[in-house]
Amino acid sequence: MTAAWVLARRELVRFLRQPTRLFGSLAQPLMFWLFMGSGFADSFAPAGQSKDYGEFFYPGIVLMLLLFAAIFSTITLIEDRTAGFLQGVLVAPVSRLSIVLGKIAGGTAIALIQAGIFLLFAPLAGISIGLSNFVVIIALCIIIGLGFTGLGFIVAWAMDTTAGYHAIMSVVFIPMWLLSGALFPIEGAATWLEWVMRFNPVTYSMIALRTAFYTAPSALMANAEFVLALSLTVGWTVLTVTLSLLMVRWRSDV
Amino acid sequence: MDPQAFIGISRLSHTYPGKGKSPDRAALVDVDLNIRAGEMLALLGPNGSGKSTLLRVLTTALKPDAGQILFGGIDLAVDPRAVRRQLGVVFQKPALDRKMSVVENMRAAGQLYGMRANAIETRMRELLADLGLADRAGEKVEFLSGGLARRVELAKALLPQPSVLVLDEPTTGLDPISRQEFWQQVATLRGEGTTVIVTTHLLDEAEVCDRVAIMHQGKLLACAPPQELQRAIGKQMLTLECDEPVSLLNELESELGLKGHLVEQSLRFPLEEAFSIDRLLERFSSRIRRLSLAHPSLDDVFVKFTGERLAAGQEAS
Repeated sequence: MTAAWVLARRELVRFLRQPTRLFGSLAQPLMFWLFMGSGFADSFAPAGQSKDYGEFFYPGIVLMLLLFAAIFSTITLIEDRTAGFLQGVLVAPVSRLSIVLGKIAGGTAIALIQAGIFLLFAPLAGISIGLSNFVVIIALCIIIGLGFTGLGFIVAWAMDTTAGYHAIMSVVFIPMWLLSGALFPIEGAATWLEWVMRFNPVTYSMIALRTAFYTAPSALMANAEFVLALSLTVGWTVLTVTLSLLMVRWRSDV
Repeated sequence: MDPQAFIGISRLSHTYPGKGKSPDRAALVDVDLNIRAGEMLALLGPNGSGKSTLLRVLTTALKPDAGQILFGGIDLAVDPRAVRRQLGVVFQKPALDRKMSVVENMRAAGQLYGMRANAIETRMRELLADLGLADRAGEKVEFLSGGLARRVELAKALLPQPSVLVLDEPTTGLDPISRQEFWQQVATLRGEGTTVIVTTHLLDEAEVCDRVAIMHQGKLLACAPPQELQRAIGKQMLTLECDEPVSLLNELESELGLKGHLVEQSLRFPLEEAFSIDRLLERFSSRIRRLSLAHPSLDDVFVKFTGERLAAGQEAS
């Protein structure tokens, strides 16, 4: 497992050493939230919600930054493949599992840094998070982040160009977020869309995350909706990480 | 298999499946090759000759369709990880992280090979000093010149003290001086008993190796010490440049009994015995633009085995 740690640490080091990437990844969610939150505030009220749009959208942005962090950290896999770094790792006496875990853990750690910083702005959204809620939210971010990074890994491992990855990102990853209940509540959507949303695994990540913002940790496990959402999220994460490993076994050449 | 062989390659074949309209391409065809411990072997061939595929198989990066490789008694297909532990590899593409410093890259590599922290530090300091990198140790790789970065690659490959060092066109893109320096570093390894396998399409690089394996269209055509290969085609090589090579080739054969062949507008004749140049000049000097007489080079050897020149039009990819 040393290998996984070495590879994960490299992800973090690279993230911290690219100032524009660092800045962009912190500024982008904040800007999205400010612009869309304030822009929609007076035009739309989220269906079936007592909150204003800025507050409603805030957990959605947390989900978005987890998704984007995963996208940006797994896209580097394609760069590593073309540049030659991956080749060097694949001929080292390292288990294929460590390669997967290293990348996914590294990507998730980056997502957590971003989420941690963004959560400090919660009071601006009118949400007060106690320490125990913060801990639960971070724990959820870990599970969701692992799932997103696993998903990104599966796609990136199969791709030879970043352009191909961008295409998948636009037509699969971003719609998964758009239709997760992050942007608008599932209750207000057209019936056909509601069904799409119910089949979207990310919807359950959104439900779990949103619930964790408003429910005391002690009451969470008594909340049937949360338990279901959490179970599906954990299942989704296990699935993507397992598929990532299978991908590496399937395409071990470089 | 040669009982002295450390690496035994037998009946190795691999075909890349075609995609779309491009047909299947046989990259390796029934390759047999034994490599002794401590020897320095060059795989010589143009691009597409199969040498890089052979290296990819040897470094466990590619599973071959057929054949077997025994690596110090370990079957590569059965236990690739055990083989990886013994390998140091420098690929054509840089395997260093450009955002990390020389030392950080080295430490990460050492950890990937399961080395202990103090062993990494000792060996790393030693290698960086030997390779003249000690004063650049803290710098990020992105700020190093091409030649220095290659040396770091070499240091990284040597860190876990591999029994076999594999170099895939390691000097691609380097200027002549950096190339020379790189080879000087590699040469010092021979005294330490490291087996070195290097692919190249550069003849001077192959000439310094113990044996040269000539590859062409996926087949291994010959494998012997370079001097032996050169001797095998004659004592001397006569090369002529002229305006009408085809007719001259025929006339020289009928009148002087010289047997040669046309290679890219020049005529080449391997000379077995003492041949009188005077007789040639007497009759034909007006039609010859340029004449050279030399010991056969590896290029001549390559022509003899493949019918093609090695150097011509071969760009490193």
